[in-house]
Amino acid sequence: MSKQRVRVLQGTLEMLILRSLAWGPNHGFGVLRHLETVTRETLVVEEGALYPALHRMRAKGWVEGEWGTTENNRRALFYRLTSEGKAELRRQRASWSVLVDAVAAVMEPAGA
Amino acid sequence: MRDGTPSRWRPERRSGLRALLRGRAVEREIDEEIAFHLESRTRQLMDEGLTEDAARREASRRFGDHGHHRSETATVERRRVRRRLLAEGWEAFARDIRLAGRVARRDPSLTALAVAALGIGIGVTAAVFSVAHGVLLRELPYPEAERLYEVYAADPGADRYGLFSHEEVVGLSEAATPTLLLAAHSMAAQPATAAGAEPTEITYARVTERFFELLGTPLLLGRAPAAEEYAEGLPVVVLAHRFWAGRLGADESVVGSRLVLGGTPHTVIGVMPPRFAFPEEAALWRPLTPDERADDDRELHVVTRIPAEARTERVAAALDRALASSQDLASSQDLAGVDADQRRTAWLESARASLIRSVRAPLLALLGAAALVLLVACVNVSNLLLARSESRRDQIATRQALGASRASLLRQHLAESLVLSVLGCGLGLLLGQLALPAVIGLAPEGTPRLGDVALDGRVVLVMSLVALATTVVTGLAPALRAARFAPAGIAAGGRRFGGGGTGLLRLFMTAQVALSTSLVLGAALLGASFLSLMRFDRGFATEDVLVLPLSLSAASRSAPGGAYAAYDRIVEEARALAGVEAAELVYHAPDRGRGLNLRVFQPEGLRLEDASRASVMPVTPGYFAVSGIRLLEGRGVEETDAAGAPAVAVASESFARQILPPGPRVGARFRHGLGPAGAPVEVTVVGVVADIAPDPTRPPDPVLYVPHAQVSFGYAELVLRVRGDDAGVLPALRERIWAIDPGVPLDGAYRLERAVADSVASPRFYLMIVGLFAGLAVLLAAVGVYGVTSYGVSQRATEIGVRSAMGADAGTILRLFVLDGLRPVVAGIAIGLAAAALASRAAAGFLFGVAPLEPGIYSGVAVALALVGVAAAAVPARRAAARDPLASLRHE
Repeated sequence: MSKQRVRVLQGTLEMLILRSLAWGPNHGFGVLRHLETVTRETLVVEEGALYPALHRMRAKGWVEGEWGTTENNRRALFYRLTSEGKAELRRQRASWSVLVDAVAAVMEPAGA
Repeated sequence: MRDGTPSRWRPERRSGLRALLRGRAVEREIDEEIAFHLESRTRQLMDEGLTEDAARREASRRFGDHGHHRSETATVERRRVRRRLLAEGWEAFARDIRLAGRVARRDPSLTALAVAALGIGIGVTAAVFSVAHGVLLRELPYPEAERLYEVYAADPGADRYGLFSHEEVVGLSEAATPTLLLAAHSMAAQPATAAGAEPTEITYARVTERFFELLGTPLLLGRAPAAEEYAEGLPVVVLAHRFWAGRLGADESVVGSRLVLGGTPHTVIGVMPPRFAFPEEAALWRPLTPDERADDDRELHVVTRIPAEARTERVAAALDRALASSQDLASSQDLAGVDADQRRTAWLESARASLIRSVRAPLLALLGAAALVLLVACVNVSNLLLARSESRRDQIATRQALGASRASLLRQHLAESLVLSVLGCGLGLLLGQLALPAVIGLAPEGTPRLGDVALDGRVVLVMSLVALATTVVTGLAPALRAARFAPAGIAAGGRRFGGGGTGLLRLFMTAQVALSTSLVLGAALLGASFLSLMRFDRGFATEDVLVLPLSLSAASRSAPGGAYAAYDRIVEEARALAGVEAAELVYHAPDRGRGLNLRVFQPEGLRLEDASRASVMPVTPGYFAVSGIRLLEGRGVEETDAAGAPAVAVASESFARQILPPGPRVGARFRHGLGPAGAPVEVTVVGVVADIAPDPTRPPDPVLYVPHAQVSFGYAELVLRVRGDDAGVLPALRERIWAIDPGVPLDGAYRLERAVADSVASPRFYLMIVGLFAGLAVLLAAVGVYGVTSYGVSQRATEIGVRSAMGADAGTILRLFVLDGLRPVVAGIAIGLAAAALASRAAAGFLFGVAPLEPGIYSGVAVALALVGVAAAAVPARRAAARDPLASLRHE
């Protein structure tokens, strides 16, 4: 456990959730596990903060929720992207890449 | 890790959302979600080798502040559910309305009928409510008008609305403080001549100091009278906007100009703004003169502005104490003291209530009548909807069988009536707006505050609320009824004859007929009352009689021969005109019928106990003939009753009966102070004439007619009998009279017929409105009877077919349906008559010459309405009877 770990940037959590749900419907813990797996546990999220975020996104109509049963026969609230959620993901992804390019241009100017 | 996802994603249902808001359901869901999370994490950590305890601790640590996340999530979720529910509700409402709109379009004749009925109901209500609102409810247009009150003196056992003498006003003023203002005014009528304008007879107010300050309205031009102008009663006037704009062409240079009022030059010092009308009919205001203040007649109105937080009872008590001490002062000079419980007590009535006192009851009654029309319209629409939902029974049962909840059926029906109500309200407001100018135009002259009447935002708001109420009234019965149709109804197969729905239809039909019967009866009573007012023998002729009030100017009074000479010349000129058959003088024309108070002349030898109403009326010899007053005994006034001849008088019937001493009436003698310069003279009664009663609702005033040549009060009216059209007479007369005295106002001429017609303008107005309402209600009820009978015919098509096939002829079937339709009509008429009989006691005050329970009117109304009912039921019944029996049978 000597890996370097970073905190999730303010405001990017929702984008990450959207991206994760783009793979298919999932419950909150599943989303979290997905993020951990993909980032090889380099990203630190305060796990509890996931739930207000999910419900806020539900209120905005980006995701919808439905109670379902897990493989272990446990009841869990599943979320899936709506078409609005997909559109939002496209928007956030576009502005994210602009931000990344801009930050990169500042931090590592061409020819430096 | 990927779990098995739900197999179905359903949109959230309203019931589910609503359940979430109950108790702590939201928190429970969130707890479950979080518990699942912690459990999954713990299991995963255990799989990685931690002990259960350590795994649990680590999971909790990673989760962070449990309580905080939980409550934040709950807040977010709760808000989400609430919004979603609202949006869902709105969508459901919009769906219902869209569907209702489709239903309304699919059945255009029913929709049109319902909207027309509601439009009429709301239209009449809106028009009457606009008037009631403007006249009764709106505050007077003065600053802080709610602090303005009128002060009255209640006479024990007599008038509650007693006025005050100037001495009493001075007494009352003792109670005034810097914040409790008090002023008095009284009305007068005199000719007024402004520079460059024709003389005109005006009504104006004589006011005391602080009058303008008290009302608080700033002047439009100039200033109010100053303290010393009030103190000395200087001849200055403030003009009303109406007079200034109407008579003087709104000339701004009027301030400082001269205006001759009652022969005395006055200076115009100010003009009031347009809405200042206190009292309503005043053309101008001027300070009370010292002479007028010395007069001890009680004819001053007292108005007060009370302090902002003052209680009216305390102000009234203070004023009453002030009045009492002034009365004590006055009575100590009398021989007999005034008994404490016999003295007049001061009390307050708000200035607004005071102004509208006379119109309040009739306007509220009209509002009630309008509400009845609206109610009939509502019941009508309710019935139409009920009939429709009966005929859609199958469709509704199918929907129910398919899972539509009762609540949704109920909502759907209410949406249908909401659509109708909204359309009806729109139509009604339009109709009301169109009808309002007519209502205002027809309103009797002298109705206060008509200028404040408008169909404005507040009226629209109230009418929208009324429309919402009509939605419930019209929609509830059909909706409840439809929601109770059992889906089994169709399973059972076929239609039953009649059924519960038809019973409700009949009940509503009865209610509708009952309501319209009450209205028609009210209209009939008002009509009969109006007829007896018109037919009433007032005791004088009105046809072709022209009256011209003649206020001579000061100049011709002081000329040689005085007023007599001028009047004589005017009468001669009038008699010489082509088109004039007769011309005579009288103190007051018969439509007013009262002369000067007899008591003023200190008569001796008469029974005066009961004669406070008796008056003296100078007339010229031909007056009785020209005005058609019948001579009952002895003779009238003749040419020989000249200035130097023995004093004579002619008594009116009630004067002779009530006031002359017992014994023979002709030849009765008494003394009065009507001689030259008020000298007492011995008078002989030479004749008795019939009473005149210009106002049939009041007993005739006892009148003593005296020869104009012997007694003149310096004022007379010219009574002319003209041949047919008087168009040419007036201009010619005007020219000749102005040649004699250019200061006489001649714009006050009127035909006696006109005056009598005007005197019944209020009852005529109320009759017209109530009659119109009754007509509308009957129309609506007839449409209702027609509709229900048609529905019954369509429902019983099979029965009709069977009956005709069995040999019943058309007449039998016609009778069957007419009788069937008539039963609820008859019940309705009976109930309506009974209700009207109960209410008529309260309406007795509006009636003249007709008993509130007049049997002829009740039976007439019953027969008329029954005929309308038969006619309305016969049309669809005839159609049924004429039908081919085979077609009827095939119908099923």
